[in-house]
Amino acid sequence: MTTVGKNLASRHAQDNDLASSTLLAVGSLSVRFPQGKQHLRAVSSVSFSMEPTESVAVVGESGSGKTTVLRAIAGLLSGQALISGSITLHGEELIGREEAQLRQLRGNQIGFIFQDPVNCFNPSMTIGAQLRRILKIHRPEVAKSNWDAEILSILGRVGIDGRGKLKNYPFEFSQGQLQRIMIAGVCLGSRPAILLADEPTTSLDVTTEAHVLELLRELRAESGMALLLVTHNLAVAAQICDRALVMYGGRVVEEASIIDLFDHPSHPYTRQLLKSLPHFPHRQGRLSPIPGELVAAIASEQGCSFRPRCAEVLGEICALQVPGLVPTGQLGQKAACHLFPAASAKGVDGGKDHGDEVSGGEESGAEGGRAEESEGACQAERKGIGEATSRRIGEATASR
Amino acid sequence: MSDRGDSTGTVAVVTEAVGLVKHYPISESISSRLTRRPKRKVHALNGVDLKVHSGETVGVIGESGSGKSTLGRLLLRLEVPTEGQVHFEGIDLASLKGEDLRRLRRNMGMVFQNPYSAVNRRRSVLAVVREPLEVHDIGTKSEQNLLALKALDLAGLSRSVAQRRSSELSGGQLQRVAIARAVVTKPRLIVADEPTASLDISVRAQVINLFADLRAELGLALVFISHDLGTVSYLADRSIVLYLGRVMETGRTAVIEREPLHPYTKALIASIPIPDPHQRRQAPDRGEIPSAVTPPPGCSYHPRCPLARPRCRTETPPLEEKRPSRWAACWEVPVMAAHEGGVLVGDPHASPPAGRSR
Repeated sequence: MTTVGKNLASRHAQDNDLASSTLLAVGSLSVRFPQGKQHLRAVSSVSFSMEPTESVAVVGESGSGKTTVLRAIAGLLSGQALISGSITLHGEELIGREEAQLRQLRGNQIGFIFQDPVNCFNPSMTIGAQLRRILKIHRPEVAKSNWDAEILSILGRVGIDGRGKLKNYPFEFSQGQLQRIMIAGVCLGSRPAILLADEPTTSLDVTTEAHVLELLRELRAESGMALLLVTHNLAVAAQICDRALVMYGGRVVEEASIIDLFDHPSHPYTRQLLKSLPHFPHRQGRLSPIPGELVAAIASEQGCSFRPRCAEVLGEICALQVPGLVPTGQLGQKAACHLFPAASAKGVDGGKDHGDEVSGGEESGAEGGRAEESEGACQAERKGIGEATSRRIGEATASR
Repeated sequence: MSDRGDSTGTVAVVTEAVGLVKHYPISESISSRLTRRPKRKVHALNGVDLKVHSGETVGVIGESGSGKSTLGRLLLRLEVPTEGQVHFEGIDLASLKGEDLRRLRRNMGMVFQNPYSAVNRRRSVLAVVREPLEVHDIGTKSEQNLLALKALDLAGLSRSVAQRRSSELSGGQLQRVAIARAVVTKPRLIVADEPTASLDISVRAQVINLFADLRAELGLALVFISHDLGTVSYLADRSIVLYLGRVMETGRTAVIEREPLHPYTKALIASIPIPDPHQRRQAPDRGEIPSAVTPPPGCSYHPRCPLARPRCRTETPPLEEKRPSRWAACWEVPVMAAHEGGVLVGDPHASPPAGRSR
């Protein structure tokens, strides 16, 4: 929900059929990894939704849980991971699906681009053989005799002249070329409704990075596929995304349109992060880094996880209560910080979802979302989740 | 023990590279040996000159495959150049061997990109930082401990970290340990090869500031290798832009970034994603860096260059002084009058800084 216009438009669609207007809905997603006696809490109650053709960035540093969210959506987390909450694509629940179903989905509806293109290809198979396999599995309707023609046309679209190169091995291509070929592979399966990209340009040189970003932009303009981009680089997000989720310590700490995020960031972490970026060309003076370092998010956390590094700690409340993600007053912008009064009032409920329940708060949130005004809808949605969660927490504490 | 006292305050040249060439042979298959095909090699560096003064920071900018890391390793003689010389405070490194070279090396330090592989993570932090002192036999055991603690202080690590095992530290802390180890022998030259590339953004700024402080405090010559112009922009007084083992442009960093002369530098700068959603830009440059095994003839940038003329395909442009104190290797950049330029990288009148404002 970026703008009023969009909201109004989508509201009408929602009135008729909720599932058709929302492409992806993640509700109270929590992911924990068993680690000795403790649980590593990688992701805690993350909720967001995406409309078709939208491009959303998940921005965060290592350990913020951004990649885990992405992998959870694609069903690529290891069997050890304890996942709770809900992830729906076109209204269909993805959590708990069989591996075979997920595999179909990944080839047809969901595309995934990894950070390191070199390790994503089998080094002992030719590029042609690897791309043909995608066609064989995901596009049985394409005749074998047309495979190479199809592959060449897709490679052409990502800017690679594949003639005579299909029998080359991955090592014969540069990193940038392999990244393009990986994107081609995604488009080859079918037109995915959503492309999940995990740091797709991090391992590339600047000039190549600029090309890949432009390619992603073009492909989206052409095919209208949605993009969920995980990146640590705010500049990359600024260049190709409409909206951004900022993650810290496994939680979404801010959600805003990309313009709002840069023009008036609301969470102290976002603000400090933007200040710490080296500007080019160099501006006078020193950089202002965020003190301290990210702490690994181990379970049983109390209070705001950014507190030890925060320049705007309010007091005890920051140490005791986990702030919930609530509207900041700026349209479409939400933040999880006690600076926002609404946050401290609702913080306990909104934030402390322990993710023990498999059912997420998304259904109740969606019901709330059908309220009258767009901004109101936003708040009602939040409230819906908040209430549902507080009820559940109430139950949980009662049972203890 | 070495003392910097004599060199501070002066603008002594700490390290000077002249006409550095480095080729790596490619291992040949039996069939190509039998057919006596010409031996192939990677042309990592093709004639690079560089001068770094005391207290000066020189940025080495380039994409992967440009030869920037090779240059750094040659400066410390971690590699032997195919051609050309490296002088450290006037001493030709090629003239030294074994013990003499090792003794000289205490005056040089290196910081690598990946602290996880550069630091022995089984040892305590103190032991890691103390190691160079032990190797160079500097001071008694207790003096070594004291120096190591001082170095940790300098790198912004608290003393409580000293007894911890390196494996308990985060990436940013570990990079500080690596930096502390590099400065513990009080070197006069430090080569830092992409020291911030593996760090998170919020921590990256801390390490950039740390380098700025160290430079001011120790007055050392710093060669800062990076693909990230933003980082170089903060630290380097002068920069050289490398492409396929050749210097494309050199001069004061602030001037290069404001008004780049060489088309490659322009493309590099135009490719940097801007952290501002109001300014969305298109990729300016075409193609990718070619293989260093078969570098293009003439100007190595010509296949990607929008200005390329027939001459660029056959003749390699020399690095010329195109503007006062600004050098570029491009046929299409005219030499401004009133300046008979020579090939003078790091010419004394591309003067070392009088301390950059912080």
